[in-house]
Amino acid sequence: MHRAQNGSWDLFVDLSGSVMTPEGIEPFARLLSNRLRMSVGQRITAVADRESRILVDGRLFEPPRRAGALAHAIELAQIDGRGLFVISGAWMPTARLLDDVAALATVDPNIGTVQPRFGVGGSGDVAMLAAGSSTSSSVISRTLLPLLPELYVTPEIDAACTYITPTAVTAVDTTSAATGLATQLDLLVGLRRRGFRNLVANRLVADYGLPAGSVYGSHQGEAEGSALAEDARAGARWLEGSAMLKLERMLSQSMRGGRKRLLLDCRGMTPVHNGSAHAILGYLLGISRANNPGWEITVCVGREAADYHRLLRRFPDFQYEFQQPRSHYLVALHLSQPWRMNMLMELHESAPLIAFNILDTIAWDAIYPAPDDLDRVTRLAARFADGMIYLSEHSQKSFRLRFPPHDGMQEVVTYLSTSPDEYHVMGAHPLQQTTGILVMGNRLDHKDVARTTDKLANAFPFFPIVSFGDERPCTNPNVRTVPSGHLSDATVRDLLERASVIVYPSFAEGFGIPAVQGLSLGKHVVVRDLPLWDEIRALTGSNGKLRTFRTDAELVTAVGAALEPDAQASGPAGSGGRAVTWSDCGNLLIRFADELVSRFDYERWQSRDLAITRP
Amino acid sequence: MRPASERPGVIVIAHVPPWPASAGNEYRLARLIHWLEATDHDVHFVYRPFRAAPHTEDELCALAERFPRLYAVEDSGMSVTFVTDVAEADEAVATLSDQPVTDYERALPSDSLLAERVHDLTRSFAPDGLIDLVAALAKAIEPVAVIPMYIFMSRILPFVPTDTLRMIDLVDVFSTKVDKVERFGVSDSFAVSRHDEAYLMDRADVVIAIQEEEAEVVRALVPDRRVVTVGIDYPMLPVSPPAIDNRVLVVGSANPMNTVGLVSFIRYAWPIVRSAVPDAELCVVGSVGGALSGAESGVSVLGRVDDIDATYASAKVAINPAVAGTGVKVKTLEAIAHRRPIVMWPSGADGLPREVRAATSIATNWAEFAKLVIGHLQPSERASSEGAAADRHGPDLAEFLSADYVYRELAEALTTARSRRDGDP
Repeated sequence: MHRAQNGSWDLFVDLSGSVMTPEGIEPFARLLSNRLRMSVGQRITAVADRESRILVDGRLFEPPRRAGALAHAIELAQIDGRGLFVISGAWMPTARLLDDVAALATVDPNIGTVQPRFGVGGSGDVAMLAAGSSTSSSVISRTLLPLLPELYVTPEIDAACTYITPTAVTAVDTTSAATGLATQLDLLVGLRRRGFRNLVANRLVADYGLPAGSVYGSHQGEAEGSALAEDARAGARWLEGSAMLKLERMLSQSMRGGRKRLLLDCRGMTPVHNGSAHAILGYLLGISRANNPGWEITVCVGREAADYHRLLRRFPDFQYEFQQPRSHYLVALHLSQPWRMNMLMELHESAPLIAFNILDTIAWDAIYPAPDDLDRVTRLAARFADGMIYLSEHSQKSFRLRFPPHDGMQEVVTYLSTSPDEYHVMGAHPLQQTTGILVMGNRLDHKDVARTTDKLANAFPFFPIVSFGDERPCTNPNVRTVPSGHLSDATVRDLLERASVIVYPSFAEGFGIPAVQGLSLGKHVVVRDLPLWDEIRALTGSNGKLRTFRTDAELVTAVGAALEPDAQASGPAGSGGRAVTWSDCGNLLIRFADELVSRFDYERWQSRDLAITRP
Repeated sequence: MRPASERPGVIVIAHVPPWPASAGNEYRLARLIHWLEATDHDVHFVYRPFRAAPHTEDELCALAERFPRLYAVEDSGMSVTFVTDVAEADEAVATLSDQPVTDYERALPSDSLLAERVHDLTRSFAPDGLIDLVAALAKAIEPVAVIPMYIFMSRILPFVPTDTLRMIDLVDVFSTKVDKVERFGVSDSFAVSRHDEAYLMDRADVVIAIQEEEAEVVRALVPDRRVVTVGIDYPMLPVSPPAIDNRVLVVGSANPMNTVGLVSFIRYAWPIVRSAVPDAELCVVGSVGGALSGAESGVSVLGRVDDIDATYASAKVAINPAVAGTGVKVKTLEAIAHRRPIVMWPSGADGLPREVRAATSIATNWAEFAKLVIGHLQPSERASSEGAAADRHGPDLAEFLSADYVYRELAEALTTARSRRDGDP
């Protein structure tokens, strides 16, 4: 049994907003006194329908006529050097809560008031903080309270339970209260004017029991006409514009039906077939297969891309938002790289936890494919995002060198699927090796398709070559150029299947999808030397079919070796590697989202908010 | 000075000098003239440098020492420097200086149907002054044959007396350039259409193809004309001593095909060779070396060498890195004649007799090319014995490279022409 700390505080209960009659004051006060196991000398002043009573040591008193009930309660607390709880509504806090709240009075001499949070309804959800005249019936899931900082320091908040610290009690102008001009809000505004701030204890939750809409702002109407009305509005504006209230609004919408809301921002996917689309579609597939009962998934994507990739048919269980997120989520995973400032801001506004998927750093490295503010956007992401997803350790290393992330950054290497089963069905039909050398890439310079094709056409002048991603007109009769981007998966697969050797000459890669696709088909694959390929070997069991080159002569040697009859006759790439499936990726992403939630850092969120949204 | 009638004359017209021969077509010209001289013909060599390439007086003097009947044409045919020991020729050429140059365009109205570029080429190769000279010479010395080199000089032939055998030494079949050269990314400004090539060939009585496969192409182009195959003779040398170092030899002029081939070899194949044979050395002989700085690893750019025999003797293997080409590859013959293995692309063996072709190493890509070179530098036991066997076949190859074998069809054509002119049955 908890006992109230002897003589440390008095209690003022304002029942005027309730159905309580004057006759009910005394029984309520006695019931409350018993519940709180009030100590000797501790007072409860209760007010209802302009009647008030003071209960102390089992005896009842009336406040003097010269002073209002609240003013008198403060006078009494001032005299005894006590703090004063001001409770609104016919509800009964626990003694432990009040003691815990009162104990916070000592954290700072200029903390004048302390407030708990208020659990409402049967679910135990917590009422969202409200400012000024704005009352809110919104709630935040109790499970999300750990995301809030332990304490908020705020301007005055008109709440159902406020503890006025002993120091602050002495600062209250009871003279004005005695004139009858004072209101509870006057009292709080007055304290703030004297240098006292309010402390909200986010870990202390009162079982309020009344509707969420009555927790905050029940005295707003009284402020009108008060001398401090304008000042009260200024305090409310401060609170309204604060990061904490913004976060609370976000959190209040970040769960639905008991499930956390996860936004998969797929706006980096355009209506073409490319590496980004492949990665995103694979992730979506993996997440759709993952065991994620705790999450409700929403995909945000451009309408054209959604239609092009038939997302709604492929993934009917997801929710969809088009063009930009308009709702709030707990976690937003941008399944492609930080790209534009407005996307970063939209992501930040949509969820308290955001993470990006780093494919590679080539756009930043090369500059020309990048928007002008990519450097700033990426650095902001590295400084303020909550998490980074990488396609490979190679990609992670590249990113970290260029954009050192903050110490609390959650990072995960997901890879993409390397499972042959998810790329192609091995051995279902004989391979038709009729296209000779297939050079894979796209029109971007770092893919080096055109140059490599010319070299191979020179080095292997009697071999047919398909140059995929080469947008030049064909001039060499041995070379067939195929622009990338708008071929179906089946067409690309056909090209891969018909190749004798696949050359992927890219200078910069985060994963190298064509190489993995080729290996999954049992093809010989020749790639430019990068640390990435050691990872791919481990993930594919490439069985010696993945060859690297640095110089032109090594390219020729590697392709020549792959074209040797013995090499062509060798079996498919082995399955000895540690293959990753899309389900693995999906499960990893869900676990990553859970991990992000468990490590939410309010200060980092606030820093991000200040950095990217405040002028 | 002597009269012209003692030995049958042949007028050979070319845009390159036959001596000193540093390019394949120059060597071909030199060997042809050598054979004509060896078979008792008075060769009148008309040298008209293409696009008036400059030559010094010393060069002309040196050329005149080698060729006693030399007519060097410059300034679009307006100026002729000549030396001849035939009185009629001397008089005919001397009188040209008193006459205005004839305008032959009016006499060749159908030439305007040629592609403009080809039409320009014919006028550059065979300007009006050159035609005046050849026509005057032919009239004066009554040669058994006039042999301009390349189709672009065929503009001369309509103005050669009809009792003279009008021939063209094609050297190249330019309408096959697109397939044989440009497809490999080597641009060739001399490529022509089949129609234009046939039109130009049709001016000759006898068309000389440099190899049998091209002769077949030519027969299809000008079915009414006699086509003879005349390759390049190359006397086989005695057995060479074995090379000591791992030296690889490339000999070539600075034509685009050689240049592209050499640069590609250095880029794609040579590092592979050097990786397997670290002390391998590539010796680059001829003007093709201008494509290199000489700072390339394991490469020595030697330029022109005085003793090509010794250079071949020092090499273990020769290469012809030109992937593209028409005609016959002198480099191939040269290496075989020096009893050195040669690694090359399939085109390097074009037109060679099957027996000669068998003595070469043919690659279809640079990786294979490098492997073949390595194989010759570090021959396995089996390969060594095969090489020895190939060496034993030397005498057979010598027959295929002999002048008697190479020029047999030309000899027959000239004999026939002489007989017809002399009224023999």
